[in-house]
Amino acid sequence: MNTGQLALLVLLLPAAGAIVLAGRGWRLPRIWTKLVGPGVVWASFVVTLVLFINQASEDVTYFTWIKSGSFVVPFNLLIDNLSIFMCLVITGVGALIVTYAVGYMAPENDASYARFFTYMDVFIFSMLLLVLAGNFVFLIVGWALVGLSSYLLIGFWYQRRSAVLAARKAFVMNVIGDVGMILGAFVLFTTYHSVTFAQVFQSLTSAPCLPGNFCADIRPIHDSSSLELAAFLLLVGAVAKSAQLPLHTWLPDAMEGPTPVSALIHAATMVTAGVYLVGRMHPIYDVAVYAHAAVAIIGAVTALFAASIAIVQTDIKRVLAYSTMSQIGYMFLAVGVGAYSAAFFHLMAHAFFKALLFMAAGNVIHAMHDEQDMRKYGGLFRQLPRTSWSFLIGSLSLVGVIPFIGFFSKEQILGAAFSKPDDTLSLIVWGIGFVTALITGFYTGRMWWMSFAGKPSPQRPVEHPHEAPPVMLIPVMVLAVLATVGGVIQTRALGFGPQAVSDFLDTVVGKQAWQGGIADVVLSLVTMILAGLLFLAAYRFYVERTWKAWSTRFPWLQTLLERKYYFDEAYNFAFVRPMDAIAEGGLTHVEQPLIDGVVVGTGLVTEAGAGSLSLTQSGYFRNYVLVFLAGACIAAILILVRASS
Amino acid sequence: MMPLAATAVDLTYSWSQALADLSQIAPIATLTLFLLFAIVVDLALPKSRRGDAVAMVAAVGYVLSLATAFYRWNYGDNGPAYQGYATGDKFSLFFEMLFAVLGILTLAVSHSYLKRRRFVAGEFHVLILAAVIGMMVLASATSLVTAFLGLELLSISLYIVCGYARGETKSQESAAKYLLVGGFASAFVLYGMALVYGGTGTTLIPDIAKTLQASSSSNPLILLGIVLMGVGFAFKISAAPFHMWTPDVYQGAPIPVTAFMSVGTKAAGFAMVIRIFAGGLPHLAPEWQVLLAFVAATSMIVGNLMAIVQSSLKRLLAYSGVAQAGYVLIGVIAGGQADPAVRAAGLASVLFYLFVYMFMNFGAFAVVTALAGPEGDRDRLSDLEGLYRRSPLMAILMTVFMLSLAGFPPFVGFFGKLFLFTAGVSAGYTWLVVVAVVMSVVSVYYYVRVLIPVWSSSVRTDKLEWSVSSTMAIVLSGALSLVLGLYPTTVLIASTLGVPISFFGP
Amino acid sequence: MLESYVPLLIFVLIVLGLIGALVTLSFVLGPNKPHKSKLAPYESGIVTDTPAHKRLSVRFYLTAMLFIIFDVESVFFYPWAVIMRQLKWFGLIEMFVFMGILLIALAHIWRKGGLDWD
Repeated sequence: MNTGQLALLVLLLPAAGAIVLAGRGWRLPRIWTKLVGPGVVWASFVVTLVLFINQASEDVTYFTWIKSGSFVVPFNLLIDNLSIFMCLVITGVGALIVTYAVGYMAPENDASYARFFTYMDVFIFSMLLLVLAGNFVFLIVGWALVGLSSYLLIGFWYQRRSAVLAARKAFVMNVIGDVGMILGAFVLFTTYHSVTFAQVFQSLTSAPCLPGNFCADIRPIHDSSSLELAAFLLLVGAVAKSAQLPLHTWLPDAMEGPTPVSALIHAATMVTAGVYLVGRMHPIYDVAVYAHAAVAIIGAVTALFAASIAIVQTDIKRVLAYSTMSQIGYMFLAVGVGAYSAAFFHLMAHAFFKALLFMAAGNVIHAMHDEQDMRKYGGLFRQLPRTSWSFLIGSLSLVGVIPFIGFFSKEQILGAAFSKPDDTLSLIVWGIGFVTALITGFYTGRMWWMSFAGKPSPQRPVEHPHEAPPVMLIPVMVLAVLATVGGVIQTRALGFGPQAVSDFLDTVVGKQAWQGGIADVVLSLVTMILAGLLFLAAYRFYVERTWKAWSTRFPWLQTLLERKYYFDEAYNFAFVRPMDAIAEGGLTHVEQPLIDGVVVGTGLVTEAGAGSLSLTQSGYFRNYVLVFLAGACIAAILILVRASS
Repeated sequence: MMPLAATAVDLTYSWSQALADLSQIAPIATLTLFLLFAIVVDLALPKSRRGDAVAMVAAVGYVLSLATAFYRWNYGDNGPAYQGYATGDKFSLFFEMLFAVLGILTLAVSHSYLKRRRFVAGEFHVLILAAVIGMMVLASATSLVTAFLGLELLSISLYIVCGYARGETKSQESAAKYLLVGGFASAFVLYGMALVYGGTGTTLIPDIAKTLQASSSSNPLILLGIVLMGVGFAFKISAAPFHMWTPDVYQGAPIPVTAFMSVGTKAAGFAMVIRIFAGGLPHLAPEWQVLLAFVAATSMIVGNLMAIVQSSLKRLLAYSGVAQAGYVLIGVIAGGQADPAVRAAGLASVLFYLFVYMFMNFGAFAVVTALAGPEGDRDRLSDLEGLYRRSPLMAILMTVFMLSLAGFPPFVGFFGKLFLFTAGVSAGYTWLVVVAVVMSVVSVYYYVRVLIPVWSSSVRTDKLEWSVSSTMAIVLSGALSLVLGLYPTTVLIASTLGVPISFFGP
Repeated sequence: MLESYVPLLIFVLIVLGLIGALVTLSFVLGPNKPHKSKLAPYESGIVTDTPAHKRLSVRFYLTAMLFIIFDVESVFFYPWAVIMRQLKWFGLIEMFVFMGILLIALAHIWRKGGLDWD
């Protein structure tokens, strides 16, 4: 099979799985769901591996969808190193997580069980479409579909009000992002008259764009306001999808979904779509300098902001959610300063260790009978040894300790930001990233110690918890191994060694223009040691309690963080309540009179003879006519103004 | 005072001329013949066999009419007929084919529905036939008088079928409201036509265009006429703020009627708007463009926002229809531009959208028909719960319709919107397109909201029945929503051909 | 263009003014001494004993409407009759077609019971 067919197979396998499960899943024995659900993702992973081994690189146009004058929409998939890399992460980590879900979702009834895997496969399909799309139309479709499947999965337990509300919030935020995306693509289309990446990027460069060196050596052309506008609008989409400031409030709430969903969608894959977008659009951002700087600033601020909130969260999944926001902030920071391959390395590393953390947390929650409050855990280390060890590996990777993968990826980003020559902004964002790294050490320590160390909490729901079944443990352990040894493929943070990911991606996203020095390496080690010390210090604060809790000293800070900087309240005040008022007004003053009109008018209409007349007198027809006439008057005025001008 | 055209009518009307004129309106004539035949059949046969027989006659009529229109599209010499009062050009043939297909779909869905609800079937089909004829007349009218004739034939038939569920107060309410507001709007249109006639001295649309081209100054009479007609047209296509009747009437009317109306009146209304505004008043385009832009923006905003809070599927789709009218108006507005390429692109996008809108919107309604029991329609969102367990096929098709309406590729709704919006941009109405894009993203929310009960694993298992004919109609609609999305070229070419550049004048 | 309508406008104004003046004058000048028996509903000097809004059978309206519809249709015969000779055979046959359609409608009404009073 050629590259095009293979790529199509990668894309269509999960779709086929979803269709099978949607159509017949609930009627077939459960074993079918168990096999088909994860099976198609594994199959997709294997095909992606084939593409990877073949070193496929092609912009395959399957057919021309629309050809109308100069306007052409092809159905094309872009298979290059970046999309293969993303596909590997999505299908690889995805397959592990979907396998894990086989165990995690076991308590559901057959119909819901099948529904869950349907949604998961739809999600994998959408995400693959997003990264494989070779033009803006399909990018937007994938973009919208991942939002859709995320909405469905957050609201999976649709009987719970909180889940439905969280799903709606995520949807609204994502819609804001979608609008930004569409308008951004629209601006690009009106400027460059094309919807394919290849042609848009070609317009941005004097060198021909070939599938092999996908605009890698871009020549600077003049920045323009329409380009900046497009870049900013696309950034709105990226920010919403990746839960960056100020469109971040949906992600913590999204933890209402089942834990495998949190692991797959809200940690490993979907939320990193924003990073992918900026990376894919790098020819635009390389030119649009203001938007590019905005990416870095948003990333750095979000990283610090989310990490600080994570310190006070007590729900284990929410800590991980804020930590996810914070880590994606790092990736934004990296793409913002132009260290694209470092960002993607961190994306992969984060997918490993964050999925690991979420699934391990899922095991804990499972053992604790759905209790998510860390204060009610304590002393789980002896009872859940395997989970605890995995969680520790994930935590240390998150903190960034040698030799775990998180160290190499995060420090490479910080090193790149620090060493970027002649750039004050980079130095500033490095500073923020450095502080964030320290806070990360602290909140991660707090989470681990509170949950696993010390004595069991008196409020613990389960006295003698049991370790999860193998189907839930093995994926966790696989990821634990990957998080431990995965770092060796790229050790540039130490100044020497291989750099497999960068070598692989540089052909697409361009080589980092500058090299780090010895100062970076020293700083990374310092960062690591300080963060590690803070990790240990958390033990004193939260387990031994020998050190007085910082919150007693700064109660206002505690409140501020617990309230998440009052973002939800501000949004409520600024948007939700006025909108509610408008909708409510529309309902009570416009809708209900009409609906009531049906009910009240009913008795009048049935009276023979006078039916139509009494209807006009019931006052509701009058409303129609009133609006009708008002509209006519406005129209007349508009025309008169137009005609006299 | 304008000299009123007191031309002496040539009274010699030869047989050959009569045949030529008749062949120009052959699809309408065919259907009219079958309408009369259906009435006779309805009278002659015993009661028990009437419904089926009339349905059969109607089906043959629609198919023949479609075939005639198709033949004339390919081989006919299309041109004006009856001294310019009607025409058989490709524009009218395009709509005639559309309406014939709509008639077939309606027949397929309504027949079993009428049986289930124990309604008298014969007269229903006759009335729908009459409404279809009215729509066709509207599409082929090149005179204000003929247009009004078609409009009234269409409206009066619909007033009756809206109240077809006589035992139901809601249906009565629907008919009464539609009659009252419809009469109101017809009066507006008639006043507007009268003023335009007063200003130009002719009711023939091409002559109106010629007269206006000659006179440079804009006549307040005609401007007022544009306002009044525009308001009436906006009513027919259920565009805000003249949409208030839509949710109530849609909700009260029996579902097949709602499905028929939601597509048919809208398409007929747009045919009339294009014929009169773009065809007859191209020189006053800046004026009516302002009017339509206002109506389009209001429709998109009001329709989409109000749809969000609905819990009745009929009302939801009614508001969705209001919003869709707003999108389509963008194409009409582009159809008023001076640049012939932009104009043709705009109008072609309207034709394309109306054609494909038929399948997705009708399909969505048709799925809901099966929820109806003998006692009435069921159209709450919660009535759809667990549809995928009760009928996986229908659940998938419903998903197709909703995603297509929401504008997801690869479904055809996406292309419809794409063409409309590109036309809008090239016409320079970027602000309107931005509103449209934003609002259509908002619309995804309520279309998807319909899908949640459809795919929920509820335990409801009450049996649903789709008759063979309605299943075929729904499957056809769903398949076309997808296939036309994958290969939109054919319909696009047809809709481009359907816009005769000649009737705009130079 | 609009100037040609000025006489019409003047005419309308005169009419409105005249009507207004007449009504106002009679209201101002005429004696107005209300009395209960004067204000009572007046119908040929007989006091009404049933409500004025009497319900009529729906059949009445149906018959009335049918009459009007066919009445209007028959108006079409007049212009045809005037130019019948010029239209020749074609016009005659066309009119028979028209009458045939009307006949079908009549048969329909008849058969469906539209003309039955009970």
